[in-house]
Amino acid sequence: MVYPNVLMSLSVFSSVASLIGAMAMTTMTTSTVTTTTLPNGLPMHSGKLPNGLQIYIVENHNAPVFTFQTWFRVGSKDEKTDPKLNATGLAHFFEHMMFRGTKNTPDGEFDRILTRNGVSNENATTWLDRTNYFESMPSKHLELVMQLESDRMANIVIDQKLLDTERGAVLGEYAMGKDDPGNVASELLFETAYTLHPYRYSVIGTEQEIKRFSKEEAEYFYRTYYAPNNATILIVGDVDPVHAMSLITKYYGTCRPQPLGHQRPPVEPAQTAMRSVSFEHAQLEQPKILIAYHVPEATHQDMPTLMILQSMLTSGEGSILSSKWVNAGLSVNVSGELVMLKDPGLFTISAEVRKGHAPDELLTAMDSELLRIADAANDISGEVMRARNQFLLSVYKSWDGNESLAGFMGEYIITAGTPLYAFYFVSTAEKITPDAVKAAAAKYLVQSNRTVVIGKSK
Amino acid sequence: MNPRKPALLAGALAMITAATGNTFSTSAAPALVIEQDALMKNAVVQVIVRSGSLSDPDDMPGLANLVARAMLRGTQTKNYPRLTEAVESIGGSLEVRTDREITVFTGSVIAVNFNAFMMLVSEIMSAPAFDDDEVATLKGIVKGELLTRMQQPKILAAMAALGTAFAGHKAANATQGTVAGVDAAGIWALRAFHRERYVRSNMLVACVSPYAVPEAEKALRAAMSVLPPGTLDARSVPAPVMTGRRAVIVEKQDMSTTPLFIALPGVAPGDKDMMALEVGNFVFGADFTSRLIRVLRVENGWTYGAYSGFEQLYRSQSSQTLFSLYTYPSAVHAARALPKAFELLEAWISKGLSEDEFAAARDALSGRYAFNIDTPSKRLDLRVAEVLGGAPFMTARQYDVKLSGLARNDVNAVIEKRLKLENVVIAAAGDGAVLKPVLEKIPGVLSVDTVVVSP
Repeated sequence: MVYPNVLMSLSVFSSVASLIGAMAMTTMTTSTVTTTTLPNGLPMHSGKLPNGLQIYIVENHNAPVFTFQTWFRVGSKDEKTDPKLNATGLAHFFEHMMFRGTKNTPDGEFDRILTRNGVSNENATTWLDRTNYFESMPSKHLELVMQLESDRMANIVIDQKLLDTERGAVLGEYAMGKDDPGNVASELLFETAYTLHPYRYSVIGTEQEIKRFSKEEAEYFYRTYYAPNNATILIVGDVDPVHAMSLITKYYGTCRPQPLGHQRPPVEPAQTAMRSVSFEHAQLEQPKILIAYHVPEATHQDMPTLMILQSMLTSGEGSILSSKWVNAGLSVNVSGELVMLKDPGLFTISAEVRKGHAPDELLTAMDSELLRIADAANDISGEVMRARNQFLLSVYKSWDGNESLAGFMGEYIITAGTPLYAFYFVSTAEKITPDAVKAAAAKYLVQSNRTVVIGKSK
Repeated sequence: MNPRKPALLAGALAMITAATGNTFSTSAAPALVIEQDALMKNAVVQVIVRSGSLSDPDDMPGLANLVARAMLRGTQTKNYPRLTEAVESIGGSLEVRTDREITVFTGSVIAVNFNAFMMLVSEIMSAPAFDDDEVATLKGIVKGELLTRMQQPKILAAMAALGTAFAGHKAANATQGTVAGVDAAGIWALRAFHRERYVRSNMLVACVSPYAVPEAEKALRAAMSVLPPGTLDARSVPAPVMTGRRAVIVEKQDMSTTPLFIALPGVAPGDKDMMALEVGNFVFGADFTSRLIRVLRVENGWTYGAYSGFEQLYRSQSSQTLFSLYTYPSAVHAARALPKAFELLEAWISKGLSEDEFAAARDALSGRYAFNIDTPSKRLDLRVAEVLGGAPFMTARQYDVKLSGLARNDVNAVIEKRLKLENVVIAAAGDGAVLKPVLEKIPGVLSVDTVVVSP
């Protein structure tokens, strides 16, 4: 069979890395649109409006549809560091209010109009560093989407009655999270791993905060953080880039930039001793363990190596912990995630512990493996190759379709300043050596840098 | 040639050109469904065995699932670690899911290693080891998973609904079976199940890759040629045995929400009325703009989500399903949300859609259909569903023509005729002291029982 081999295709990533460097030194406007070809073969166009709005358009003409995402550089950490708010949960609560009417589009009309015109997967999410809004539509409705999205970027109206009704839905979401022991454990993990940085606070906030948020606070939050100079638009799909750029200028060009309220969050002090907490939950049938190690910010040079290390430990049935935990009868499952954030993040591992076994048994087995990995005398090249290929497979899967590709690229808009970083990250991960993995394991996956959360049946 | 339903009997290869421009090919024994996407850097393969949990022996619920998962734990020439290493080191992954009527192995691999991957798939399908120690380990894992499922209140409510709707039949079981069933399955049972069901006539292989169809077809055929021809073992989910309106409660304390299902007999995926019912369901509970979300969440703030559909309780390829409403109001609002949900269901079935709602739903579904076929993987899934007895694959144009042939009165008549509220199960997980009086007040409810759901 004739097919470009992996090394050939990945060599394209290197040129993307150069491109990121070049782009970082260039101030773009819509009159200086940059075009490049991505490693998946699709052309990407990028530019910036004078009001600061960043734009990325990836052309994919496979089907007459497109995905439209708006990324705001504001998340739950920002509300906590804003002295006028000093709260958690408002970023998320406000995300709900973005669907409840503007000066021009009454409550319910945003959803109704998009739905009637064929929207797919319209939603929004709030996370620690950002809030994103997204929808996929038939190609012919690009202008309609821009009209509606630009309108809610500039013209939201906070109605007290609607705010109170939506408060009920947010409290419902909060209640749903409390019934899920995995969610409770995850919140406790962040709260314990971080002592000072606002990543320690739950995105959804506390019940008391959700109940007390006022119309004035919501209006302040909107006025301060929802501005074109704090946003990026990413479009992936069947669009004409010239037409799309002209529509963006037409609909977003009049949005006024604003002074932003971001404050530099406090730096999390280095952890010097292992932390361990436990909780009880009525829904737990068997113990649950969550583990976190502090790691650097998303753009740090060690992150691609840590991604390979994460894959070695938890990706696939051949992963180290699948073997030493699941197949050894200690746990029911294992999963892991490298939580990449704008500020230093976490390397997390979780499992349901098999009845009759103690969480400590899992820690002992893992520590033994981490020592083996870090030991210079041991050959781990085969494990690194397996992990690298598993990582590449997960990347290639994410290139299937507009929504998936936009998801693959979008998070890097916030954490790295450009969605192209997604491809740079992959090209770097491809070059990781076994020695680099050993060094990363010895540096980051040590007990003094570890937080452990144990969940038990009530 | 015109697109048509591929034959499953032995016969000559049929080549069909799809509307997307990619070539689509089917053949028999096993049937092959192939899509090409030249831009893909990975290949996706589905091996579908037309035996699922309905093929479990009565005393071994979970056998089909156990067999499939045991097959991934070693072959006659490669033990579990070696097999896993062989698959994953080439950038491959292989997972398995058991439904009631089928078992699906889904594999992905970096495209350059497609041939090597298919050879491994072939070995797994034809020569599994069913090693004693590995099966014992697997049984421990599966039993742990069954216990873990019990942590999800939604699962408890769903199992209570299925247990009532299919009382006494194996369709009520989780597809993973039960702890007792898993314990009862000996190696001999696994081998016998594999010998009878993993045969070419009982399988369908689907693939989407960057390779030209003839090349992919050659690799698939070679991989499956080592299996014996055998016979088809297609089974159907029986009709639910519901009598009157019954409510069941799974007692759960300390809950912040109250997950609940309201279920009634539905229709099969390939039913002639399915499109009309989809239009109706879009108005009722399939979308964020639907009545359920609008009333229960947007207007009242009682719940975060409320949905309805034909596959919420279980997925079927060709049999009648249960139509169900699912919501999870905050516990403090459950007493108001539950009767309101039932009232909305009654009103929808008896009064149908307004003209505005019908027009909006038709427009929405027409525009949205493009997203059902916008990637090769999605098109492949629809082709596979068609072969398994689901609705015929349609291009966007074909879908529009069929949709535009529906009138509001047709849709309303179909809803009233096919979805009957005489036989209903309401299943909720939460505080019985709160739920029982609420359920007893639902019009026509004959009984409210507390049930135990165990793994």
